Amino acid sequence: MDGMSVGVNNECYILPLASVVESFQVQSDTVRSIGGSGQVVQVRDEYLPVVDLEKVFDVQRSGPAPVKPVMVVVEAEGRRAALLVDELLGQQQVVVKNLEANYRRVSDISGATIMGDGRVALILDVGALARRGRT
Amino acid sequence: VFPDPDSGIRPITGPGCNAYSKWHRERRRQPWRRATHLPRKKGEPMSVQTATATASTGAVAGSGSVTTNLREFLAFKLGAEEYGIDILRVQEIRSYEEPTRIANAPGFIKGVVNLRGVIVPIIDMRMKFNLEQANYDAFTVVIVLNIGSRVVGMVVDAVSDVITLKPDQLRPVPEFNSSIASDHILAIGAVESRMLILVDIEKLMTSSEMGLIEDSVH
Repeated sequence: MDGMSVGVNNECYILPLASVVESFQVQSDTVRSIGGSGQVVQVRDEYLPVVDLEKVFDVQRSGPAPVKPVMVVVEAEGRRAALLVDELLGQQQVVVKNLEANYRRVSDISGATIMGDGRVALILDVGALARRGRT
Repeated sequence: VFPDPDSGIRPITGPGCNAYSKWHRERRRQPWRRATHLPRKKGEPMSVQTATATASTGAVAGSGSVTTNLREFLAFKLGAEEYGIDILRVQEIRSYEEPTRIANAPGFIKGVVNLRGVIVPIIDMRMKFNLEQANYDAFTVVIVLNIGSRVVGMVVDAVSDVITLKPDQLRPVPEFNSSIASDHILAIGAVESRMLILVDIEKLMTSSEMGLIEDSVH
């Protein structure tokens, strides 16, 4: 599978490249809140729900927040959402490994893969994340 | 084929001549004429018989060791406490490496690591058993367990040794309140002055409180 690796704090997650539409640097004036907590971002003539991966995966930030965070627009099951990440790390071919073989299903995660340095990176379940943006 | 090999007719010209070597080549291409192949084919069933004999001897030796009541346990330390698990559940022991965190998992599940291409969850037993804060040093090791068809890694403070226990060294488990359910403890192993808490690791790892295996509700 073709994957795009994104960084959140010191963690690395993989997005299936097939579901990535575009990515852009966040301009603070394009992000608006709805109802106090829900955030949307304006992409050209469309408003997309923002899914902050730092909050979804409960990442403990060790340093200051990035100056220029990146949003990755993904599309799954006809829904679009903008994932807020720290940085884009790169693109690579990944082998999808099953998490359930030795563990269990994890929400918002579709599987895992082994990176070049031998570490495990989790593959995001874009469909679940896009639904999360909607609710 | 010319000339017919059985007719006694040979090419007029000797070896090296085109016609002569062609006749030889033709003969070599007819494998049924090579008598040397036949004894080798006869040898095949013989080797199969030898293999069966070896296998049956192995089975006899295996059934003999089952009758003994000695059980081997791998002893390891968690803080000041010493535990023992059935050595047959242990696949390997490796040094600790930082796992990849899994979001929203209980604190004792440290994450997953890559074990030769297999994704293996890592559980910190010191956190599971509510011991004082677990730190990671040169002695911290991961015991890789085979639980059914699953592979699970378990972080412990140190591995001490492998202990063989006789049935009379296994003491019953007293009733008490602890972070370990008492039905997950097989027995208390008494070795001289040491006290080993013998854990039924298979039962513990597959229990719902560990959350390692999907609940049947889903």
